[in-house]
Amino acid sequence: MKLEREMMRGAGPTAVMQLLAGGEKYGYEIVESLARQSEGVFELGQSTLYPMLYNLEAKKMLTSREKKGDNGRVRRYYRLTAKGKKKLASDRQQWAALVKGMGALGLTRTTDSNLQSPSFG
Amino acid sequence: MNILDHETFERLMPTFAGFFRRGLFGRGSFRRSFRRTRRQFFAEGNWKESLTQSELPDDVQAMVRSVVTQTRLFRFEKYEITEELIAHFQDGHQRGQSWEQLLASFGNAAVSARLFRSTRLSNRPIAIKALKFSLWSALTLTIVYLGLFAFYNLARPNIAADYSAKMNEPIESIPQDQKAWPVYRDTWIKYGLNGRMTLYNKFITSVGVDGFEEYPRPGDQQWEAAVTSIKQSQDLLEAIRKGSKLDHLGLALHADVSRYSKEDFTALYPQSEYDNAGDIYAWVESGFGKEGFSNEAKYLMSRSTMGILLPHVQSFRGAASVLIIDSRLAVTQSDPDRVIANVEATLGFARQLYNEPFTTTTVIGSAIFNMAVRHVEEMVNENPRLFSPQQLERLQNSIAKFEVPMQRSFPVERILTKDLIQRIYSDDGNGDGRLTPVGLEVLLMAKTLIGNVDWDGTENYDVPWHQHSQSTRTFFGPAVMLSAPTRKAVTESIQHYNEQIEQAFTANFWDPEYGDLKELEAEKRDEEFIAFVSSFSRVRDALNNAAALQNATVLAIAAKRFHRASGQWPKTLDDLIGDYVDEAPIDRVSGQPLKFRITGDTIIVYSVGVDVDDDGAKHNQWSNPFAFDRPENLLIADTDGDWILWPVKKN
Repeated sequence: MKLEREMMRGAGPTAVMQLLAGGEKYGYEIVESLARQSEGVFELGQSTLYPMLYNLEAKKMLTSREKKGDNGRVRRYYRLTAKGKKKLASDRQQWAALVKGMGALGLTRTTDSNLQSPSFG
Repeated sequence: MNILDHETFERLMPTFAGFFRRGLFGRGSFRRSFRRTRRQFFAEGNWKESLTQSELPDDVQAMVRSVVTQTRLFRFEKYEITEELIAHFQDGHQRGQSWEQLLASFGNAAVSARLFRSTRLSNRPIAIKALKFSLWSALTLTIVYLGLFAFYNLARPNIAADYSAKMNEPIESIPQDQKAWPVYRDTWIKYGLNGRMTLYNKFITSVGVDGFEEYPRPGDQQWEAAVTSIKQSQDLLEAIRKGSKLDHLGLALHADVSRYSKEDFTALYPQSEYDNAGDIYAWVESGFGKEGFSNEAKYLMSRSTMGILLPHVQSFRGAASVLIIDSRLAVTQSDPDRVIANVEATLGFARQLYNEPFTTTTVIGSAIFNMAVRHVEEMVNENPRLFSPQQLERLQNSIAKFEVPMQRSFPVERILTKDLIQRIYSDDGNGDGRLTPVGLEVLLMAKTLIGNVDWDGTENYDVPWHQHSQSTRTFFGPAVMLSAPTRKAVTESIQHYNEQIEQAFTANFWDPEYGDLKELEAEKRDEEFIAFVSSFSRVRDALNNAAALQNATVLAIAAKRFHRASGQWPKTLDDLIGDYVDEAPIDRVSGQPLKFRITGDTIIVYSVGVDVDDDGAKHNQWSNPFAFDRPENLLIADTDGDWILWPVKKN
């Protein structure tokens, strides 16, 4: 299931940072990992990923370096900064609170009589 | 913690090493900045070449090229994006994606470019943003300035009014038989009295520190030669005496010298040929000071009323000196009537000059009047028995009835400033306009013409640095125009100033409203866009000085008449009032009756001077507040004393 754009706007950067918490990655690797590990939810348009990475880097959440990959080509590798780690920790708390709250409201249940057509009468 | 402890040192070493490895500006930021600079300005940043060498398929390259081009970012930013996208597609293909799949999943090129651009722009360093802002600002200002430049250079002056003609209207209206100039002209040409070619200059024996020239006296070495010249120029003397009886000179003056008749031109410019009248302009234009003015500006200036020359006024000095020599001859011939005629002729010159509308002629008229007074003083003091009582009375009345124009307006100065304004500013038809390029030159020329030479002959320009040459005037002209007042504002400013001046002339020296005209003139002269300020203070001083001498001369002759009649000198002024004077002649400094003292068999008439303290005729030249060379910063102690008016003290 793909997220709508507005939801992606808030969640996308956090998802990328969460992915990079596991270690340094390059651009296509991030695209592939995001889609795979999120089971297709965070299938970012590839054209939007790199601007997002640049934005996070400008905000000092990430840092990058050029490095020769195993195929001999120069790639740009991204990793979290200390500031990024802090932000990620904060975002994780917020997401946890959000999920808990939504769950309490019943929004996280996929089968629910409340979601069926209302009956009148 | 003991830094020298080996274990501690080993623990801290990586931290120090890491610090130096990262560099003083943060993790790799210096290296990155250096690399980006190279990519921005050198071949290293050729992103198109990098893309071509990537060996990606054409359609992939086209996608990348489209994205990167549409970002419209700096060269080094395009390079980095290109490298990133090349790596992306190559990695994707290596991981099993086809080019088509990669292109399909990449997204829209325009959207991608927009996202790249907005991200980069919003996160650019402040220094880059400031630089970009500065460049755009500079470009905007340049465009605006170019627009102003065009606007400024479109403005032209419009010479709508012939102010020379306006100035000459009163003169043209004088009946021909009432004009003195035609009476003088031909004999002045004949005897070299025109301009500076005064025949009698060669007879000047000395020039006093007060500026008055001395001429031969009986017994002097040059006396006989002077007498011979006088006897050979009786037609000159007749013309002088005849012409001086008329009230007006009646010579219309022109800046365009080609408008003079040949006779008038010859009389006014004896050194120039009538057919080469343009030589006059070269001389006039040489007075404008620095080179670098355009021909158009020089033409405008030389044809303005400010370009009107008055070469004939100095001829009056020459004519008055002829009369002095003749009077001395008349004394030797016991001919007092001729002396009186000569004095009255000199007074006639003064009157004609006062009736001319210029401040210059007012000052010279006062100088001629002073010559008349000294003429009288010499004749009366040195030849006490030459004149009969009736002749003395006639002399006294000639002096007393002479009108020194203490309160006057200056129509020519108003005309002159209006004429300059129409040559400096454009004309919107409603009395307003803006500074023009050629007008800025005219403005500077007018200012340098009036104040460009100090007493010691050095140049004294006060031109702003950005107006010193044609090129700087051209470049900075639009900026000057923005700061310049409009035509209407300048006109109103000058009008207000003229009203202040004319008001100042209504006050006497002892009135609180007398005011410091020099200060007013200096303030006006300092205004950058006021082209011309007459020296009204000098005019007022000259008139006051003349009136002071007039009153003293009347008193002195009256006292001599009293002495002749009674055998005694008057004790007080009251002794003279009624039979010898109508009222007490006043001191032009204090406003009180003049003082006098009898010394031996002579009378000394004096003003109490600027310290308004009667020192019993103790002379101090600086007691005269109207002296033209009076220093500005006299201490009170230096002005202790009185101003001796009769006899005029020679310093």
